[in-house]
Parts: sequence; structure tokens; C-alpha cells
Amino acid sequence: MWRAWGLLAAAVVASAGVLWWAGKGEPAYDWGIDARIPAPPVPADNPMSAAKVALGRRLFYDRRLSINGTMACATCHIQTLAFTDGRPVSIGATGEAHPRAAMSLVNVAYASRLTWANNLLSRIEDQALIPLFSEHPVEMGMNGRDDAIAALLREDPLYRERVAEVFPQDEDPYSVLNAVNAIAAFVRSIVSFDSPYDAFLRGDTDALSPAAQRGMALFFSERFECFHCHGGFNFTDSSTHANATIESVGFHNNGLYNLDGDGAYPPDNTGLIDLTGQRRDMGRFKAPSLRNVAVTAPYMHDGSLATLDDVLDHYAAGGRLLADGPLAGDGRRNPFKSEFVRGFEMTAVERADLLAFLRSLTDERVLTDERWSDPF
Amino acid sequence: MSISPFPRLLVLCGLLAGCGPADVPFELRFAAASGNAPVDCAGRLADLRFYVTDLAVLRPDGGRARVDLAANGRWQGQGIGLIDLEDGTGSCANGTPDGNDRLVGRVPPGDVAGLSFVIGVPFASNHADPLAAAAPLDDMSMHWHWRSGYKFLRAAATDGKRRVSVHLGSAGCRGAVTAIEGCNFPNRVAVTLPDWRPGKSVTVDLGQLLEAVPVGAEPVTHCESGPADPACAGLMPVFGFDVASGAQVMPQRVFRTGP
Repeated sequence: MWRAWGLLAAAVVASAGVLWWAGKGEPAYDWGIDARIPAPPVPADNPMSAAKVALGRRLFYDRRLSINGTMACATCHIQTLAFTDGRPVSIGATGEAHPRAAMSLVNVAYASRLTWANNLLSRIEDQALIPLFSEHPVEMGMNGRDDAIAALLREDPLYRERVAEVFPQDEDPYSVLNAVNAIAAFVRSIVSFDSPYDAFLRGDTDALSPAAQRGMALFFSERFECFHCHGGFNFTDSSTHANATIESVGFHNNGLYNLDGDGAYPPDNTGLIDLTGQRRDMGRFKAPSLRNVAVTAPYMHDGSLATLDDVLDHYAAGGRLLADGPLAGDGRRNPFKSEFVRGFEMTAVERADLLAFLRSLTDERVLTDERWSDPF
Repeated sequence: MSISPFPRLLVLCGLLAGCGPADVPFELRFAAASGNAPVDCAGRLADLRFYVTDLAVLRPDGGRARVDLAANGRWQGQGIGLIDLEDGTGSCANGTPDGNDRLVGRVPPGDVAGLSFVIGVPFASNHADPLAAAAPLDDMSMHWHWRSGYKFLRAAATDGKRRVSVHLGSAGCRGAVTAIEGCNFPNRVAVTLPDWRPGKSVTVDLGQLLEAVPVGAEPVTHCESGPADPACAGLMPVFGFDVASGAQVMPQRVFRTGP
């Protein structure tokens, strides 16, 4: 109720201040991307600002947002690894292993759905609550410690000042909501279109080696089928942007497992079926963006493929045969497998060309740019 | 059907807090048990928190009288009550120190022939932004971020031979966060207790959940309402649910009239 009144009051103040704002010529948020590239969508209730992004950057790197002060968002999202953590699966603050690998945050602002297999999550603001508060497994371990987050904002001298500046309309701005809004704004700001591939698209024909150019042709060919799931400007079919008129969302079973011959994935990692309960969703995961893929090893939702060579072998075979062990099974014959994972023949030169293309998707700037680096 | 102004006024009064001067105080206590033995954080209990909504007393003629749960800024509000029977000590390691074992409100006077309530959060509130929610929906421990709704009930217990843990909430939801269209497995538990009378409590029998778990199966049988999760297959029927359809096809067995 108070929140509603606060919004109403803010609206009144805002309409009174429109002329003043117009006179000031307050610039729109600068994404730092080529003007031909559409901006990412931004929720109406969490607009971008440079000050909010700066606040979120500090929170993103702040280990006090974990149960024992050992872990920040950045612990599993390391800038030099395109905001992944280099592990097969991530480890939480209390030592629990997550069943899945940390996903890259580069261009996650353009993701139409978030995490590896969730058909409901579309806003970073909602997704951020999972690592902060989840219990199975514990990630940052802040469940039941909402008050500690609010207290951190209120009591740390720098946060105390900055939070009030960024959220001036709030009677009490020291809230989990505002912490999450700032972190989401920072994560949303991590956009990158400066790889050699992007330079090539802009007309710099020397940006890609002849091998990478040949690899690009293979990548976008019907023979290799890569682009069906990893297509579009962000190399994933679960992409959107501010001007998008249709929403693209995709989940795919790529034949990694087949425990029982009926398509079963390991019970702690079954994919979209976990959400929907529908059999057809067994083993279906989101195709991650391939931007910066050369620095995000190991691969797949559970980090079970160590190198890009292994990934090419996997798709060349049309899935994975695990001959023995607790996860044994012929993923190539998974009945829920995507029709695009059919396997292909690949010469040594073609393999090298595809790898050269995949490496051309690395944007060295996003891995080092100070805007997204550790401020502590 | 003709509607005179007078009954309309009565209906309106039934919806407003404290408007019926003849309403009588109502109190309902909950207690955790395994079978007939009380359980607590000294060993057998690990977690027990749940939302109660649509609370009503039953009349001998089959009618219902809604209990008005006055908002108190923490445990009750929006017609929803939160019961928290763990105190964060001992075997309830991941719990919270504060707790609430009762619902208080007012109900129109009259003969009582039972009690009914729902374990859950109404659909409209269930999928709203938890960070903007009012009590009792502002408790982040009760929100289930990846399922985009609340944990209606979180229960965990052991009988020394086996351990069970259940997070019950809506699953198989469609749409996107902030615009959920519906859920194929709503998982709201309707409870009807015909033998309940004023002054009686409600016993939450976690033994029913423990008995649904095979001894020595695994360290903890943990069900997160996954419609296809084998860990839930034996547990959802205890709440009356058909595993395949998600429909409540039989009476639940966890809540019963207590002393």
C-alpha cells in the first residue's frame, strides 16, 4: 500500500518535473555499442543509469552478500572467463556443488530466458534471487538473511550514500529489492559486440583469417546445423532485444545422456522437465550464446565436455555414447534428441576452420574493460 | 434471483475486517507431530512452515463461514496466514528464530461442524513480485525463485531410520515471471476436518510423509514438487494428489484435528 502511494507521489513529482528534466537534457543510458545494434530490453520498473550500474558493480563483487563472506556474484562469474568460472559445475559458499555450470553473463541482457533450463525466468531481477537465496543447493546462502542485505546497504558508508542517490524516490531505499535492481542493471550493462567476427560484419574483411571465414561458412551450413540453435546476433535461439516483435525461446536435448534407453538424463539434472513435468522436455536445455566460447570451457550444462574439440566430436557423432559407469547410455539414441543433432563427417581442415571461427567470437575488450572489473 | 439490500450488506460485512459486531474471536493452533508423538527441533523436526488460506468453519447445514484473519504485519495479511513451527535451533539448522503456531481472527457466531482451509497462496498473489509483497508474503525463505511462486509448505523431518524433505508449491507453470498464465500442477492442498470443534488444535503429522519413504532409500528423500521427480512419487499422494494429473483426488493425510 505504501509502495503504491509512493509510486503515485513519485508520478506526481515526475510529471511536475518533466519540463525541468527536458531542459536538463538528461542523456539516455549509453550502452557503448554500435548504433546499428538494437539495445537490450529493460524492465520499465528498473531503468538503466550509470550511477545504478556503478552501484551494482560494487554489489556484484561484494563477498558480504554470502552467508560466510566467502562468495560474491563474481566468484562464479569471472570477467577474464567471460563471466564463467572455469569449473565443470559451480561450488556454493558452503561447499555444495551445483549440478550445473555457471553461464556467461556477456550479452545476457539479450537472453529471452535465463539459466540453463527455465521457461519462466525472463528478467535478470528475478534470476538474481536464485543464487542469492537458493537452498538446494546453497549458492550464496542468504536465505532467511534478507535483513542482513538491507543492513549492509544501510550501514556501509559508501552504500548508504550511493543507494539513496540511485533510488531517491524510495522512503526507505535500503532494501533487497534495490540491491537486486542494481545488480541486475550492472549485469545487463555487460554487452559486447567487439569480437573479430563483429569487426568483419562491420566491413573489416581482414578481421577474420581465411580459416575463420571458411569456418563461418561451415557454421552456418545445413551440413553442420550449428546455427539452428546457436543462430542470430547472439548465437543462441533464446534471444530478444528492445525492438523485437516476436519472442524467441528454445530448449534442446543434444543427446548427452540416455540412462535408461527411454531418454533419461541424470536425476539431478533433467532439464526443462524439472519445470514442466512433461516427458518431452527431458534433457532439454537452453543453447547458450557462443560469444567468447573459447574462454568458457568446460562445456555443456554440467561441464561434461572439456574442450571445444570435444564439443565438435560430440556433435559430429550426433550425441554421446557413455559405455560404462553410473551414467552409461547411448545419448545418440535419446528419443527426445533435437532433430538438428544428426552427426556429420568432418575433415581435419574443417575442424580447424570451425575452431578458428569459434575463436573469432572472443571479444578481448569485454574480458578486461574496467567498467566491469572488480572495484574493491 | 432477487437481491434485497439487506443480505447484500451482510455479504459485504463478511468481507470486511471487524465490521460484524456480533463476530466472535477465533483462534487456531497448529502443532507438529509424527504419529501421536510431538516432534520439535530437539531432534525429529528439521523444518515446518506453511501458508494457510481460505480458512472457514463448517456449519451443520453444510454451509461455510469464512474466518477473517486480521492483518498483523508479519504472520497474517491478505487473508493468508503463515505458520512457522521451527525456531532455528537444534535439528532445525537452517530455520529462523521467530515462529508462529496460531492463526487468530473473527468468525460469525453459529454452530460449528468442522473446519476447512487450503495450504497454499492464491494464484494472483503467488506469482507477483516477492520483493514488493506485503506480509506474510514478504518472507523470502518461503519464495521459490526458480519456480516463480511461493513454497506453500516446507517440511522436513526424520524418524531415525529415514529423512524426508518436501517443498510444496505450484509446478508446471506457463508464461513468464510477472505474467504467469496458469500452472498444470497448482498443488494447493484442500483440507477438510469434519471432527474439528472450537478450542481444538490442528496436528501436522509428518509421520505420514516419513512412512511414504522407503527405509534406506537414500540419505534424504527431497521432493521439490517436480511433476516428474521420482522423489515426489510417493509423497504427493499423502497430500491427496494424483501424481500424473496433479489433481487432488483423495483426502490429504498430513493435517488432522488435534487435542
